[in-house]
Parts: sequence; structure tokens; C-alpha cells
Amino acid sequence: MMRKVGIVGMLFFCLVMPLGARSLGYSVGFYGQSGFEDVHHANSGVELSLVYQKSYRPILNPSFYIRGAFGTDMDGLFVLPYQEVGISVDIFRTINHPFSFLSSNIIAYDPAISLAYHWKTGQEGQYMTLGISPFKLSQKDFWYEFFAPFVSFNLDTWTVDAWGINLVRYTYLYK
Amino acid sequence: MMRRFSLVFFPLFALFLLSGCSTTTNMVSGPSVDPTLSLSQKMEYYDIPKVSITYPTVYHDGNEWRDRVIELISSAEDYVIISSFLASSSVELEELYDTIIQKAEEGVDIYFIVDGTGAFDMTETRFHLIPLKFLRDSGVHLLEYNPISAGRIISGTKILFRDHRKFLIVDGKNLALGGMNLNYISIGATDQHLQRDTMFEFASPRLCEIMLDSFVTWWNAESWEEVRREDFSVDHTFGLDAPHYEAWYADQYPLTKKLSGFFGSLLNEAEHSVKVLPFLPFFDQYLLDAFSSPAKRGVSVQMIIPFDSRVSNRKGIEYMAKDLLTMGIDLRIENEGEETQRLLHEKLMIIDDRYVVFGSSNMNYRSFTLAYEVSLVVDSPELAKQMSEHFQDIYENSVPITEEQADEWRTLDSWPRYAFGVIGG
Repeated sequence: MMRKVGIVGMLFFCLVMPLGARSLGYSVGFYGQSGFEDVHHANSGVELSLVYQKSYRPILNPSFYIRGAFGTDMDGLFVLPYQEVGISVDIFRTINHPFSFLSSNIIAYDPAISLAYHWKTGQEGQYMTLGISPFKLSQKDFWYEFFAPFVSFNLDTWTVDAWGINLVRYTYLYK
Repeated sequence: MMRRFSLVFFPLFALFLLSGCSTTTNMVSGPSVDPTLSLSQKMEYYDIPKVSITYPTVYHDGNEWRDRVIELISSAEDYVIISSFLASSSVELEELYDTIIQKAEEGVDIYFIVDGTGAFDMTETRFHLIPLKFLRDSGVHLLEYNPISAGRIISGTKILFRDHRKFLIVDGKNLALGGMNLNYISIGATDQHLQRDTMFEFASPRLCEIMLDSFVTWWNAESWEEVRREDFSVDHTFGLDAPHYEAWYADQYPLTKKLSGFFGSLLNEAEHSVKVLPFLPFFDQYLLDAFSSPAKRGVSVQMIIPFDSRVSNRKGIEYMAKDLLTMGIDLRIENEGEETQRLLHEKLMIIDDRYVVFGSSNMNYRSFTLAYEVSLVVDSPELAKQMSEHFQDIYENSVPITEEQADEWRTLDSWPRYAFGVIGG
């Protein structure tokens, strides 16, 4: 029940976003993940996130997110594998970098790390996800992230539970 | 599970797409039509400031305006701000862009805003187009608003928001705004491809202040190259000796409905005549009602639709003609001829031989709801007389649109062009 409320809440959040400030936004990404020991728990699909970023600090700039994944498993069945709430921190930001040619405008390179509390569908226990976005490019209203790996840990056993990668994630911030 | 998810997701997604839409209700309701309010009070309500400007120099020739822009930029000592919906270089515009580069290299701060649709320019310009990214190598602060890319599709209806403004500010002294872009067809061509259009140049320290306030906030929201308001000075003595005229300046952002309040108020003010060059008149019902309202009061409303040699645009406008005729106004279309091969890109409204409205805004749903636009109305019988003579020249080369023509034009195969015109025109 709580999950359904969460999904509807996320979609509603998207609806009211045009009324919000630029500090609010959402993202769409494409992920794939696999169980660390049990590869049959692999799934892939779309991630939707709601994002809040208050400032444009040049160093250690934080943003917060709620994220849900929607995908298919190895049997092609629809799954909602995880939801998470986390913080992402842009380690630094620079506009002098080798990826400038990718954009017609000046675009910043701001690699980020993220830490999230993680709920797994159909699994008890507490989990945490650690991620890195080594190829994150930002404009004031838009972020592009490519090839961002993540690992989730079981906090009860302190073991690696799953790993995966976001192939691409686009984030749009309203104003 | 999937079915229930779909039942929730798709209706919400449809609502999400619609959430970026807006209306032009201010044309026909609210303060704009309140008979107890003066024009000043209405403008104040819509947050449209009153300013005073000198008598504008009017440029009807794109090549002449290009030479003037070169002259103005050459004279710049501190900064230049250029906003042009479509801007690109070409062989014919080398001198202009070389001047911009030279001044930037001399240390003049040049801020240049273009819209992200420029790369998709489907006019004759596309055969001459040189993108402006090279300006950045010389230190020009170039910003492409809302560029179109696959990733940005996720921004939903925001992808439709466009920066349609055309203005120039030089050193807090010279100001210009109007309909001309800085591309081949607006100011570069010397043949039938050169558009007919208008730019207005004048002095107004107060308007400079207002535009700079707005520019700094807007720029910092879009660019990593942040600027400070104190970096842009205004010369308060410039043009002080010349006669000044009252004016109101509407600086519209998408979804703010400011322009519909602006035009609705002005149309409601009309007592005997309204003359309009709308450029692309893709009207919704509120716009139709707003323009028919003065006609119902006995005001003479004349509207001239340009002859557009671009078949796709023309078919879309022709499809609209049947609706436009319901306004009960003197609706005309330019004759097809040698002169009208040069597209009339001008946007103009003259009310009661007193108020002259000019700027970047077409008179249509898109400009009034989804675009950044700048419009100015000047209270000047002298300027109204000058522009009325110009309007009359165009009027004499036009013919009334008849019901029979409108019926003939209303064909199903023109509907997609009309629909595209409503959101993309």
C-alpha cells in the first residue's frame, strides 16, 4: 500500500512541478542491476526520480532524491525492484573540461557520489546504495549522467547485495 | 498490477503534458475589460511598467538595420546585449559578426542570446547558415536558450517554450526592439528573400534599467557565466534633451499571460480604429473574441495577413481564415506579387491614431502563452501617423478575404499545418 502511495505521490509531484522553483525537478534514467551472488535476480528498466537541489555551490553541492525503478526481470516479467531516498553530492564543478564539445552551450562537468536508503520489493531487511556518477554534465536546468555504477549493501549482514549501472540519466529542474 | 499502474500513470501523464499549457483569457476577462480602470491601472495590474522613450528611428529595411547594428556595436565601449530568436552568420553577415568578434576581443562584454530552434531554421537562411558557436572563441558570451536534444524531451511541454525576443542594448544608452532577427533572411539577403520587417531604435534610460534588471536575473538562471547587475551601467543623460513619449513595456515569460492582458487592455481602449499586422494569426477563441469586441462597438478593425510564399505556413493560415472571418472585421490578405515575395514578418498594431504597439510578439496563441516576448506600446500621435502611412501602403496591396475563399481554404489536408502553426508558429 505504501509503495502505491509512493508511486502516485511521485507522479503527482511531477504534475505540480511547473508551479515550483528551479530547485525542484525530476529525472528519467535507464538502469540494469544484478544480484551480487544470485545473478538470476537481474533486472533492467527505467528509473524515475524526484530531485531537490537548493544551491549551485561549486564544491560539495548536495541534492536530494526519491527514486523508483520499473523494469523487467530475467523472465520478462514486470517488476518494481527498488525504491530509495538519498543524497547526491557534486564533488566539484568546472566548465573547463574535455566534454565541452557535447553541448552548444557552456556545460559544467560535476562528477557526483550518492548515498541512499534502499527498499527492495519482496525482501526484508535494510539496504543502502552507494553510487558514483563519473560522467555528469550540468546546465542550470538540466543534468546528463552517463555510465553511473552503483552497489547496494545489506545493512543487517554488511554484505554486498547487488550491483548495477545507470546507462544514462536525464534530470530536468523547473524554474 | 501493470493494468492498475497504467490506469494511474497515463491519465496523470496526460495531465502532466497539459500542465505546460496556458490560455489567453486575459484578452477578454479580468482587469483588461474592466471599464472602471484606466489604461495605466490595467497595465499596472499586469505588472507592465510605464516608461518614457524618445521618438524612435524606424528601420523598415533589413540591410539598413544591419548597417546600423554594426555602427552601434562598433561604438560600444562597455557592453552589448543582443537577443535574437534566430541568429546565424552567412557570407552577407560577415562584417556584422566580425565587428562583434573585434569588440569582444577589445574587451567589450557582449552577451548574445539565441533560441535553441535556430539549428532547425527551415527558411531560406538554411542555405546560408553558419552557426554562431565560433563567437565563443573570441569571448562573446553566447547562450542558446532551451536547446533541442533527445534528452530534453523529458522536460515535457517546456520544450515548446521559446525565446522569441529581439532586442539590442548598447552601453545602457541605445535601445532597439522589433521583429528582425540577425540572420540571412532578416538582414542579410538582398533579393526577394529579404523579409519586410521593422526595428525601432530609441533612448530610454528607465527602460534600460528595467530590461537590465530582467536580463541579469534571466541570464543567471540560464548560464554558468554569472553576471552582476552592477556590471551594467545606464547613462541617465542619454536622449534627455529630446522629446519623450509615454510608453508601457511588456516583458513576457512563458505561461505568465502578461501579453494577453497587455493586448486585451489596448483593444478595449480602442474608440474608432485598430490596424493590425499580426504576422501569423493563429488565434484561439479568446483572441477571436478580443479582436471582434471593438468591431462590435463600431470600431474599424483592419487586419492584414501577409502573403506567405512558404506553402506550409500559408496553408495553415488559410485554414484559419474561416475562423478569423467570424470576427467581423476588415480582414485582408496581401496580393501575391513581386513585392510580397518578400515575406511581411512585421508585427504592428495602431490604435485610434494614438497608440503604436511594436516588438517581437506575433499576435497569436503561441506568442501570448509559450514564448518570451518583448512588446512596447507608445502613446504618440506622431508615430501613429507615421506607422499608419506605412500600414496604408501595405493595405493598398491587399484584398479582402471572402467567405468563399475561406471555405475553399478550409481543407482537411491543411489542418496539420494549422495545428503545427498554433504551437509552433
